[in-house]
Amino acid sequence: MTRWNPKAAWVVIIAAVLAALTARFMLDANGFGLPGGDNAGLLMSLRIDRGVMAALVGVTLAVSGVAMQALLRNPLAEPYILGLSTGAGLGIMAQGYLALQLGIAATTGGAGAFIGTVVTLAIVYLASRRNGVIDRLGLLLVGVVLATINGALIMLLNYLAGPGVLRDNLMAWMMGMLQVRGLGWQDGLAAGVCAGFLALLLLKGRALDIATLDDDEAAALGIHVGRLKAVLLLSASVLTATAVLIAGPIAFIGLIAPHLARQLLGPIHRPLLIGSALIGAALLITADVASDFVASLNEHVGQIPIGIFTAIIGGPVFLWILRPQLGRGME
Amino acid sequence: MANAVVNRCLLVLMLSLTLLFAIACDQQASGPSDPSQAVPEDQPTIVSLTPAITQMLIDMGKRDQLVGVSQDDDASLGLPVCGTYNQPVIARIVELSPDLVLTESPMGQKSDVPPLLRSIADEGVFDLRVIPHSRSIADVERALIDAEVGLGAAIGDPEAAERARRLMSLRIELVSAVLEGVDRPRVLMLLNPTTLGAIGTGVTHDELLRLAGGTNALAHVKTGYLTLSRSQLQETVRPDVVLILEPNGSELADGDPRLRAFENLSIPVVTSRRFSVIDHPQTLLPCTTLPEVLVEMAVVLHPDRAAEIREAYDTAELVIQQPEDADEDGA
Repeated sequence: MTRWNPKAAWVVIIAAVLAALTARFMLDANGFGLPGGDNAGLLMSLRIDRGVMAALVGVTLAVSGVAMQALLRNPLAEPYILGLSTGAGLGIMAQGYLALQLGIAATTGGAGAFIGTVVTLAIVYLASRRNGVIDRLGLLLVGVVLATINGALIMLLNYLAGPGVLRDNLMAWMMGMLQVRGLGWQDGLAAGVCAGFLALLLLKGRALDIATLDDDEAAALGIHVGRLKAVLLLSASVLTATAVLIAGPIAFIGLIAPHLARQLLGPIHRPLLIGSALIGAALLITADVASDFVASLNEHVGQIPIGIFTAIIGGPVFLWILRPQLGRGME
Repeated sequence: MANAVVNRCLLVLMLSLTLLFAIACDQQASGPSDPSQAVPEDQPTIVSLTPAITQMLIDMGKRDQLVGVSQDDDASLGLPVCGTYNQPVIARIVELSPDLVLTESPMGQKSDVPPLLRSIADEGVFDLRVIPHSRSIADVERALIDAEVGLGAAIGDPEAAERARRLMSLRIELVSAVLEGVDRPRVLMLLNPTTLGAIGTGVTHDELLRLAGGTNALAHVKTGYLTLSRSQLQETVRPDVVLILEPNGSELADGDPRLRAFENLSIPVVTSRRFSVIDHPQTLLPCTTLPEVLVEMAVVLHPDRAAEIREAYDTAELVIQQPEDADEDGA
C-alpha cells in the first residue's frame, strides 16, 4: 500500500508544511513580500495569526476525517455527512433570528453554532444506535436526513428574517472565513481539544488498525468495538464542531488530507494520523494563501472566502485521488 | 470508461480554474493606488465598509476623503475594495492606514463588528465608528446627524451631514407635496420578480411608495419582505402597478422572462401592462439617494405629473442654496 519510502514521505510532508508557512508569512491581500511602513508589525502579526488559525483548522478537520473514515470503514466518509455543519449553521441562524426578534445586538453566533452542533450530534448518535451498537448505514442515513432537515430549517428562518444582516452573516459564515478575527482564547481551547483527541486517537492507533477488520474478527482480537466506535464518533464530531466554530464549514480537507497521507505513508493509523494532521495544515494554509494571492492581483476586488477556495481546489484534487478507485464497481 | 469520464470532468474543471484565474488577472486595472495623495491634510481619510455609507459620504461632499470602499460599492469609484462589513479584508484596511473606518450594524453597536477589526481599532490603528443601519427615512436622517452615532459626528463635520439631511428631507417633502390628493394605485413592489419576492410593510420602500402616491398592495401584511404565490397575486394582491426594484436593471421587453409569474393571470396589472423597473443604481440603499428613487417611483406611478415632480425635486436644491447665498451676501 505504501508507495513511498517512509523517510522520503515525511520529508515531503514536512517540506509542504514549511513551504505553506513560508508562503503565508510572505504574502497577504496587499501583495508579496515582507510588510513595510508604520503598521508592518501589525500586518505581520495578522499573517502569523492567519497561518496559525488555518493550521489549527486544517489539523482539526484532517484528524476528524481519519476518525470518521475509520468509524465507517469507508475512505470516502467525511464528518460533514453527519449534518454537523448544517447543524452549526442552523444554530447561528436561530441565534441571529432570536436576537433580531428581541431587538438585541447580533453576535457572531458562536453559542448557536455550538448548540446546533451538539444537538445534531446527539440526535445522530441516539438515532443510529441499535441495541447499544452504532449502525454504520443508519449513521450515514440519519446524518443525511438531519442535514436536509437542518437545511430546510435554515431556509425557513432565512425566509422569515428577510433580507438584511442576518442573511448576510449566514451567507458569509457558510462560505468559510478566517480573516475576521484574531487569535484568542477560543483558539487556545480549540488547540487543546484538538491535541487531546489527536493524542487519544494515537493511543488507540493499534486498535484502529485492527478495527479495519470485520467487527467479529476485531472483537476476537480483543478490541471492544462498541467503545471504539463511540470514541471515534465523539472525536470526529467534537473536532468537526471545533473547526466549524472557528472557520465555518470548510469542505474537502477532511477527505483529501487522509487520502494524501495514505498515499504517502500507508494505512497504519499512528503515522496516518500525524501525516494527515500535517497535510491538513499545509492544505488549509495553502488555500488561505491562494485566497490572498487572488486578492493581491487586483485591489479592486475583495477576498474569496476560504471555504470556496478549498472547494474549488479540493474538488478536482479529490477526483484525481479517486480515479484509480472509480470503475471498480463495474468490474 | 469511468476513467475517461473523470478525465473529461477534470479537464473541464482545470479549464474553469484557468478561466477564473485569467478573469482575476484581467481585472488588474491599475497598480497600487496612493489614495492619501488627494486628501487634504486636515481631513480624515476614510474606509467605508457599506455602500449606503459610501453614498452618504459622497453626498456630503467627502468623496475625496474616501481611500477604500466595500465590495458592494460601485466599481467606477476606482478605490481599493476592503471587503464587506461582515467580511472585511483586514490586511488591506491596515495597509491603507485610514484615520477612520466606517461600518454599519442594525443597532449601531461596536460589538456587532468583526472582532479583529474592533481589536485593531482598540489598539489605535484607526478610529472605528458604527453607523446604525437604516430601515426608514427617519433612520437615514438619524444616521446622518445623530450627535453620537451619526456620520457627521463620526467624520467631524456635522454641518455637512445636516446639509445633506436638509436637502434629502426637502426633496422628499416637495416631491410628495406634488402628489397630495392624487389617485393612489395599488402597487406591488418586487425585489425578485422570478420568485415573487416582494416588499411588505414597515420598511423604507413601503414609506417611499406612500410618498410617491401609491398604495402598497401588501399593506395588509405585517412583514417587511415576503414571497408570494401566483394564487395570492390573483386572489388578494391584485396590483394595478408592479414595480421591480432592480439596481441598474434593464428595461422590460415583450415576453420578458421576469414577468413569467404574471402569465395567464386575470388581474388589473396584466390588462394595463403597467410593469416598470426602478433601475436607479442605489434603488435598494437606505441613504441620501432616497429622493431620487422616490422621483423615479412617482414618475412611473403618475406620469401625468412627471414635469411637476422633477421640478419639485430640482427646487429643493435652490431653496437650500438661497439662504446660503443670502448669508454670503450679508457677509
